[in-house]
Amino acid sequence: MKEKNEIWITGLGIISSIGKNLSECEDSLKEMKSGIKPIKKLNTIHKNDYVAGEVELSNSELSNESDIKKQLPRTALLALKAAKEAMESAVFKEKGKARVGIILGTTVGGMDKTEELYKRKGNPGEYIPMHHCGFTTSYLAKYFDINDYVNTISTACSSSANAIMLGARLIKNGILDAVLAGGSDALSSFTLNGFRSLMILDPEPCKPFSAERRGLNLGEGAGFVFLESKKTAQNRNAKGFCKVSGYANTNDAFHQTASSPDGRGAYKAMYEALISAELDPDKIDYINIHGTGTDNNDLTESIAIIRLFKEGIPDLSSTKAYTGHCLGAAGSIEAIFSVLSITNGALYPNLRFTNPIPETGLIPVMEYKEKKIRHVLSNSFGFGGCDTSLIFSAIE
Amino acid sequence: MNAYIKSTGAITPQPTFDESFPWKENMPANLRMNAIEPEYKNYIPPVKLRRMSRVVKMGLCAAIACLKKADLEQPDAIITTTGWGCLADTFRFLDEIVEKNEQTLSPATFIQSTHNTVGGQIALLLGCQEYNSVYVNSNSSFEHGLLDSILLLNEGKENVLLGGIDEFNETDFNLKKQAGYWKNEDDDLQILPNSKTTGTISGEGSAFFLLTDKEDSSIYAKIDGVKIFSGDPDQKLQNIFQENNICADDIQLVISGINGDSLKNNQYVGFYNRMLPSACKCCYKHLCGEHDSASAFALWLAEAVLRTQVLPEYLSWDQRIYDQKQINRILIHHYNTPDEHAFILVSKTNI
Repeated sequence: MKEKNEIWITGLGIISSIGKNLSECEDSLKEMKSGIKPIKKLNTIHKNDYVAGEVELSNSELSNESDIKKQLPRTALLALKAAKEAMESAVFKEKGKARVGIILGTTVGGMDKTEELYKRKGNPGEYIPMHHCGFTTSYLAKYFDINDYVNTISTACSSSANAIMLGARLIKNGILDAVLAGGSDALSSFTLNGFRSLMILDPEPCKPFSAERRGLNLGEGAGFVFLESKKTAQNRNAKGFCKVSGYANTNDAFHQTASSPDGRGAYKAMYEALISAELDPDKIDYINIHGTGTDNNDLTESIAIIRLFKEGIPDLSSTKAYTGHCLGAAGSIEAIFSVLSITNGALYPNLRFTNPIPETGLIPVMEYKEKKIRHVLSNSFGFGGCDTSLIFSAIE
Repeated sequence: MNAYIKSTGAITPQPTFDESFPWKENMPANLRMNAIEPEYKNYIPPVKLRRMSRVVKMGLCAAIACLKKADLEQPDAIITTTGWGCLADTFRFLDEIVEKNEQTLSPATFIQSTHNTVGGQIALLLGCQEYNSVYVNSNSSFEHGLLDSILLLNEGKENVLLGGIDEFNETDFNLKKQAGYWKNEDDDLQILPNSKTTGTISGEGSAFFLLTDKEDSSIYAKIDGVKIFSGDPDQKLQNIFQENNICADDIQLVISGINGDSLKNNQYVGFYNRMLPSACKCCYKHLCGEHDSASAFALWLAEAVLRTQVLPEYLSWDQRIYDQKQINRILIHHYNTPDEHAFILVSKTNI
């Protein structure tokens, strides 16, 4: 039998409101420290009305960390910080011999620069190259000298989950040997006001999957994984954190923002991801749920989970109670948390859970727990009905 | 690798939607080339139409027309590509934030500003729950969509609906004007490839393709290769020749992304003279204006030329009429400063 072309994760890098690198995030997850706090940096009149998961470092601190002189959009600065950590952790020195790509998922791109321009502070000459989503990717590609494949995805809140899925597919199909895949999104007045207009922001720290949930908190950050084929990794004696064993991208095709009452897109994404991983539902040890804290998402995601897993519901939690909803970066940040669950044998809790949703009764993990975890399912669902599920598995 | 163009649908500054090729061309009268929009209500239910922004209508309608021509209700996958996304709603929401001082903003505007609005709306209208992705990688977004389409067909999907969409927007136009993106109003806009002035003209459009893994008698075009890269174009062209077992003389036509910017012209001309001396040279940005997904319009033209074997004078690089020799292979190329290129190699099918 032909050996399956396994996709390994050999590098991880992250920055979020719970830490400016992997080990800080790991500590916060374990110590149950949330990053949701009153808004400090974002320029908005709603500063005192909402909380958010802001990254502690300012733009100038982020620039200094990476020794960047140019005024970059915050999305690019966050991406650079996380991507550098992922590249350093992968210690990939085979660039000349291997075909390497980079894929970024983002929703706002350089919107902060466009907002500055609107407030008559910016220069249109800067707006043009920086506003569009491809700017950050192209900047990173030049920074790391990656040029075999450079691409950017924007499928709302599933953007970076799709970046990881595409990276895995490109390697599986033999088009690339390695891919730096992830996502980045900075908080912006645009998104805060957008989600506010939709009336789905909880002014208090969010309570995902709880009966008393009142909406989501926005967050910001970036997360990158370095993907390579098992063969490439083994040839250079690289350590694999885990493998990407399954993925599926589906569409709910119900409403531009609301999910269908039975979460049919979510169900299909989870179901097809299991098929792609050749796993039965009972093999999943933990689900890192999308769990935004909105009425609609949490109810329909619960319904889809129950329909798929029936009596054997795995442990599950939403880590958005730690980080807020990082939009285009959410999928990759939660992918990294999923990897940590496997490598550390840890279940990171669903902070601030109160009571189960009456219709579904699911109770997420409420305290930090340790157990052997082999397979994790990570959900990322977004506007436009874009649903993606990824499965990460321990390397045996 | 088998990827065939089964059908197309395009709403562009040319009569691509309603008339058959070769249509009578519209040449640029000023710095903006706007799409000729059809009667949308013939394609999209009027109730839904009222809430849609222009870019969504253009995208959705071209997509539906494309599927209709292929007599297909639902594709196996939907891929939309755009450089700048839903500009009108993005700027409208930014305006509202300032004008209303962050109070009582319209959720519909925000919702429709996201880059996956068109892709989501297509899925919604068709009830299509399959793979749905959106590429937003500047002016190689469409080529990336094409690469993923080929990958999906390789993985077993039977067909993929792929589109490139970008809309003209006044605010964006004016910002880019300040930054020197466009020519002056009094420059000669007709002679794009031979232009002596810097800058280009702005445009927009939506072009969709139904790509399939199987050939049939209604199909005229096959995608032979896609390359997106930075660096030396000569070497990459050689690679694409080798992969297809062809040489430079096997390419009868180049459809060039030259956009009349005199600073870029020499790069294009030098490359073609070096590598493709015998091919006919065509360009298209004087027909659709510059926009990030303009290569979708180029692929539309390539399919039309392969199907009709007509090469109208207005496509020609130097406005001369080429001998009507058989056109079997077309290279679509665009170049972006400082050194980014994209190739799409398209060939005529045999059936």
